[in-house]
Amino acid sequence: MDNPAVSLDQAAALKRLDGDVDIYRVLAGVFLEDAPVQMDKLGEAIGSGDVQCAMGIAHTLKSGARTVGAMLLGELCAELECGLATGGQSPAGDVFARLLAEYRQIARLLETEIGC
Amino acid sequence: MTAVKDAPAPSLLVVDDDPGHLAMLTTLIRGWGYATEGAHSGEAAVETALRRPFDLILMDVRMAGISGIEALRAVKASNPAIPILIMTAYSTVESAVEALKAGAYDYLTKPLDFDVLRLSLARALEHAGLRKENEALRRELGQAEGVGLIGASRAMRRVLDMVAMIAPSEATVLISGETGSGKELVARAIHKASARASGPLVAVNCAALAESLLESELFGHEKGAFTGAERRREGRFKQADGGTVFLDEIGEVSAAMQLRLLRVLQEREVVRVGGNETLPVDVRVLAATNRDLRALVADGRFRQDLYYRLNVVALHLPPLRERAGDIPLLAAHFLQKYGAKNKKNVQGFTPAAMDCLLRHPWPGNVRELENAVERAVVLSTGAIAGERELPPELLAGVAVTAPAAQNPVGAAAALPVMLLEDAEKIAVLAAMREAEGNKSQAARMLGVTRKTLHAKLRKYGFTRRPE
Repeated sequence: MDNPAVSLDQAAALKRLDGDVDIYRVLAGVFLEDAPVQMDKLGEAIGSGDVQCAMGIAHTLKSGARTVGAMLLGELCAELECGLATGGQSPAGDVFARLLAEYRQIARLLETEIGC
Repeated sequence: MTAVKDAPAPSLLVVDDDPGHLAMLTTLIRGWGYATEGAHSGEAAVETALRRPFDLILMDVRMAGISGIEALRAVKASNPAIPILIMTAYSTVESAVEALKAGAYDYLTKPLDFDVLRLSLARALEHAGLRKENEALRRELGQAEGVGLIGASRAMRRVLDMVAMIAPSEATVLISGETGSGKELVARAIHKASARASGPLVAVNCAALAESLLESELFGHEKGAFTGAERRREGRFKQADGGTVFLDEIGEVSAAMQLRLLRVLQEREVVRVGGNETLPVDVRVLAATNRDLRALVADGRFRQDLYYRLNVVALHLPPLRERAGDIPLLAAHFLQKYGAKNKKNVQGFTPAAMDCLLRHPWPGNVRELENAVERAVVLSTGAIAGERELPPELLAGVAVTAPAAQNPVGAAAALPVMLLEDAEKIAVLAAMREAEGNKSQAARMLGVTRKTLHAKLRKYGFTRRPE
């Protein structure tokens, strides 16, 4: 994504949280703490062909991403989850590469610009 | 892993442009029981792999001439199924992604850990073998009888393996599983793959008939046996002679009927209602239930001797929520089925609709999914069905936690012991994440009111705001 404002829709996330910035910060903190571990596990699961495990991780990451307003990341997780479910391991590498790039951008935004 | 005795050793092509490393690897791997061949370059690897088939290729990435990734692409173009393990000195996620994108089964980092290499080879070969077996099994079971038994999940593969294993025997099979999970389809698959396939398969729903009618239905009756019995009629057991009888809902039959069924299973003969003549029957019996027959036996409501007669082989069908990975495959199958029936060309679901299908706990199992897809086909006006075409209960997203709630012991097995308060904090945050920040939905998932959820959020310092 070239435009960070599009990939991280904090306003939409806050709207769902009734504008509660406190909870947003807690959930963003949980996401930042948990997502790197999940990304590593996701890479391992795809690499080892463990489709069920990869689907579970993609599902969890999807919810976490959407919760903090990372909508494109959420969509990529959904795409990966559906792709794994329908096509198994083979198409996963491509989506994972895009997902990884998007995740890094979101993590940087949350850590620096948002101050989480 | 060593190669299985009496079976040809799996053949491996090892590719490395370092002659010393190549010689070391081929010798090492040969020592593990595999047949190995070496290639000194990517070009040689492609030529060798095209000349004769291998079970697996282990290939270095960085080589003079064409790279391992390029060689991998060339080999995969002619043999997409072959597992290829890539060796790379770069242990970054990016190199894994590049290898996976090119179709590698897995990648290993250099310097190689030989235990990891040995395990990876075994796993890749096992995976490739399972895929071949599964494909063969599907062919064996036949497309028509595989309907509803569609699934690539581990759970469904176990069922298909089991069906293939028990079908050729004469064993009585007790099929258990929730309503709508496909018990009758399994019975049909077993019959179809058995030596009795050319004989009839006669299915009887034991719960659908009153006891007196069921008795007549199963065993037949003589003329005048009861009011309305104007002529002699053969029962289902006799009609199934040379084939298979499928007794559905066996857990619902009365004590008297249980005794009669026990006699049939023991003696292999039936007596028509109102008659004295014993008639030999040559049938295989398959039975199914959605109840816990063992518990019924413990309660004295089901005969233990009949239970053991029926339960020679037990086959449990997993509920759909435990094989969610099969949902897209099943949905695609039902789309095609009902598309053809309704003369509509619905080719797929939007990602959001598929998300709903994947999230729903499917208490009615495959039958419920089939109904939902049929509805989507009927209501859909375009080539892609959306959320609006799905039944409303799928959109609520309420029952995400249902499996854990239904099986708290199983869910607990995956968790460490922790303070109750910590468990509650985790549950609250997990629900907020799963509901993507929607407090009302998170509260429903937790089984509390929105007000209570807010109180919890305040209690644990997640918010300072009043509700």
